[in-house]
Amino acid sequence: MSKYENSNHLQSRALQCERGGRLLFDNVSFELKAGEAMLVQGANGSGKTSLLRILTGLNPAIEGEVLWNAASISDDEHAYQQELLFIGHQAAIKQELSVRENLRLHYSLNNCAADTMVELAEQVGLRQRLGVICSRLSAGQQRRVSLARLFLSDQALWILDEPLTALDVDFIAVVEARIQAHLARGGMLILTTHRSLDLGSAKVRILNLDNRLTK
Amino acid sequence: MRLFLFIFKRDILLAIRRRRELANPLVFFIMVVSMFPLGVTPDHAFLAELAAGVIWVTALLAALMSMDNMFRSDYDDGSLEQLLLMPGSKVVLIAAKIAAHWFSIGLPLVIIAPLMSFLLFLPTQALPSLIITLLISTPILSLLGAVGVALTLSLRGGGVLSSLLTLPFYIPVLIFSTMAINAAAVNQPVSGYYALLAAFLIVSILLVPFAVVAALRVSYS
Repeated sequence: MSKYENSNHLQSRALQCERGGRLLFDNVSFELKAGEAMLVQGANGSGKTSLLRILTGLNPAIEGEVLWNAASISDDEHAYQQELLFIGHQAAIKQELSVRENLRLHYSLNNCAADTMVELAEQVGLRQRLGVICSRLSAGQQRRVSLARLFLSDQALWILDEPLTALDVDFIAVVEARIQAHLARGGMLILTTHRSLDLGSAKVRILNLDNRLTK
Repeated sequence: MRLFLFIFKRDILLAIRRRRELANPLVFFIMVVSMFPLGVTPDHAFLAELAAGVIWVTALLAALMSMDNMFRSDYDDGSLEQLLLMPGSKVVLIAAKIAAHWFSIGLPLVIIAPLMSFLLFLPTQALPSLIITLLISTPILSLLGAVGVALTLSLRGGGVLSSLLTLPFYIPVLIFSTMAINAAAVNQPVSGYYALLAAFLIVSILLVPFAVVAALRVSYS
């Protein structure tokens, strides 16, 4: 069963988030439909990462709820998380393992068979580096290993936290193309980035977290 | 089951790659035990009396030292949240991580301990009970340690706090294990101690993975 459904939608109602005793944002509501992207903007420390983590279900919101296809994500967290690809700002790759071993872990995370390993490495431009231990790679190359998951994913909702850090211009174009293809298929994207990203013809919503405090 | 094996293999592979970290608690165990005859007294009878206690206390501290390995690096590099988002049961995931931890730390301790017992002149009739108590109890150490580590993950310097949290729960294990070995040394029945330790193990296996999942939730909030 394909996870890309035109009826997919994600909605948040009056989300509130607190970090270290300080209220970060209040009353964040939005709606996102299939094929749409949402850019989360805000100054450093405005709670972008916290919002994304709430949307994955990893962190609870103090107030408000997140609805996936009209059902609260906490009702069936497990089913929701299967629809979801989250790449945080930490690369989540193991430094002690080689590129090949890390990619193999990606395959298992995404429940794919590992027959296209070389092809995948080609896509992220690390074909010559498959056997190299990741701690020897540059920051940009490590990011590529982590973003390889985009090319495996058939999840409908992508939540990406600063995916473009440390990437070179060529690979940003590759990621852009991949994201555009995802949106064109009816996928959804929630993204924070300080770089500009061309999302093609997809409808882009903007959520600004600055000055969100009502009190 | 597939998830269990996947996580287990992943963690064992990581442990092998991080050999130095893995060797630390084992080297500590060997050093401390082997220094007792040098530092205290080489007297056979006296050392034989100490043996059970020394081996057990050192093994326990060595296990405690290694607890932080279980989740720390995965938490720091963001892998843990990816694992938690994976399809499949979180309880199975945690159980597999704990099993891998025991396999890489607990099992080597069980294997080295009989060798170290010769240094301390542990009576030979107590040797089987040393191995059996370690086999039953080291998994308990890994299980209880996991709760402490999971609870303190988000705190800086959580290592000390998690040791303080875990240590009181280790004490009963220590008491029953050393009592069993000392009883065996004077040819007393020991099955009662084994039964108690085994009961402790079963209860921890059943409860701990759920507790750890809940604790991680707290750490992430």
